[in-house]
Amino acid sequence: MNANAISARRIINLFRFEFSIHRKFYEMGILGIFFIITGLFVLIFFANRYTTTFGQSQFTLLFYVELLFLVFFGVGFSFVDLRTKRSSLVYLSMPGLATEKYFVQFFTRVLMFPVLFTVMYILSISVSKNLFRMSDFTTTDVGTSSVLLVIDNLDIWEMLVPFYYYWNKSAMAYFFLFGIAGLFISLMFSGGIIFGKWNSLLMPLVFISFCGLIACTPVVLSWIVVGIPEDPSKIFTPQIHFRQPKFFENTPLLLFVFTVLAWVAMVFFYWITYLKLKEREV
Amino acid sequence: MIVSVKDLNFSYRKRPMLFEGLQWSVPEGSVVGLLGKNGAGKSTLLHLLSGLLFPKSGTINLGQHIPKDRRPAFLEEIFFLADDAAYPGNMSIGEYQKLMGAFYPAFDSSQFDQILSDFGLEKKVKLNELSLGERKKVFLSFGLSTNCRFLLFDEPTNGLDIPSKSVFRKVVAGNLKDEQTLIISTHLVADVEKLIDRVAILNAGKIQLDADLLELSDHLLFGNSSSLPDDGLYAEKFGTGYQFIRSRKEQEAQTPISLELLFNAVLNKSLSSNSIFQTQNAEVL
Repeated sequence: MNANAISARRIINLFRFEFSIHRKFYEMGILGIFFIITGLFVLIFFANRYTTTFGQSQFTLLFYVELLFLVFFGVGFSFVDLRTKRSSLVYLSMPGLATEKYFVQFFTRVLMFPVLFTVMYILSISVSKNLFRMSDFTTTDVGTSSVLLVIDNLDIWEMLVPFYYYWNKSAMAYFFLFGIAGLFISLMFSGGIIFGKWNSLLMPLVFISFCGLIACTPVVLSWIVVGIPEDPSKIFTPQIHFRQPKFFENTPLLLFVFTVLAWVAMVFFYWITYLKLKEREV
Repeated sequence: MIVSVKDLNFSYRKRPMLFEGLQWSVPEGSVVGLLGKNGAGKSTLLHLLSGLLFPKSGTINLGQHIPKDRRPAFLEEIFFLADDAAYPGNMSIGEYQKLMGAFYPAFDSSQFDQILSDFGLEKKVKLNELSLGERKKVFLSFGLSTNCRFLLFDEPTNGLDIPSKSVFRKVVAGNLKDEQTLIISTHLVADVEKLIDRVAILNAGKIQLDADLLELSDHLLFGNSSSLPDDGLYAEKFGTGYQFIRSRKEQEAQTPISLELLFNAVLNKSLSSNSIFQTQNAEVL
């Protein structure tokens, strides 16, 4: 057997290493997510107990807001073993291909975390609803008004693919949105190896700067092509109509360009992460 | 030669060159003492040999492996015992062995148990309950049990108490196989004196001396005298007299090598591989 080929045995060993060395991180993370979300929903239900409904849209909105936090503090914690010289030494010396080490990190941070989070989120909603219902008796016993809040049943598919239900846009708009979201995830993943412990702070700043750059592009292009307006109130208003020319159906060229850029950048940052791992010295 | 370093250039970023055209080779099965002053680059050289640092130019080969590639076939054959490696404190020695031993195909658990008991340690103890010296013993035991072809120990006796240093020598000598090559970097010369069969002295970015200890004792005579010897290659004050190194004549009995004196002689540029073996080379030629 070629020892330098990808090996399932080594990948399993690397998974064992990951889960054993960072056991506290996983235990605290999973239990922490469960208790925080459950507590949050119980608080929300109580705060809204005299209103009429708590619906699917709120569940969906909170799911994505919390998923964003997960990207910050879950995906952003990739390659934790490369944060210090002492742990890097152990990690890089461990027999395994850079590809195998990369796969383990990608699987746990980018694939496993969101799935685990979704499961925890669904469980938390169920537990918090039951807790809230149980507390109904307590509130009525002490003579206060009875609870009026009706909580919708969670529709998991609607939560996972809300765009399909709420947002009827062109395919390119979906590609753009997923491209930007995917780029943010890939940036946070690569940030673990680029910025180390400062990743959760620095990479979002980089991302915001990138988005700012995209947002400013039409304005700066207007300044270059048309000139800077004399009226100060119009200085940040694009003078060029970027809705034309249209590319595909209902797709402005600029949106198409940004979409392609976002997808290319997403792949590029995953590739950069691999190279950084391979070329890491300690 | 199982370890071969050719024209190695290396420097840390924004720092002067540490190694310039460094040449070094180690025969298979050697136990080499890599000696050098603080900051001479001993640990850096071990990092380069283990693929944790990359040369700026030049080549390094360990067997057929190029360390820089960090291929699994190489990583499975090398164990680097660093002075300051991280460890999972909440794990017991037994758990650590199971977790890390799985990465090394030739890892021998019974050998690990034996070495551990030689050091007087129990597997159920957690790593963060051990002292620095005890942890060193665990990692030494682990390193030897991996049965890797290349063992690189960086300051292995740091933190060991005096009785443990003696056990260390016995354990290392008793667990090395003929095909294993061990490089020990240390500034505690006396700790490895009875263990190594080869010495390499690193100074000013070069290997100033690289010699087999048997050859050295063939060529050099180490002694003490009350006055400064006339024919000494190197001498230094020792108490009321002098310690010296001079060329050994054929009929003279061999003397034990004083690594410390040899080290000082090389650093003072009184000795080098060329000056020691000049006569022999001339004869060969």
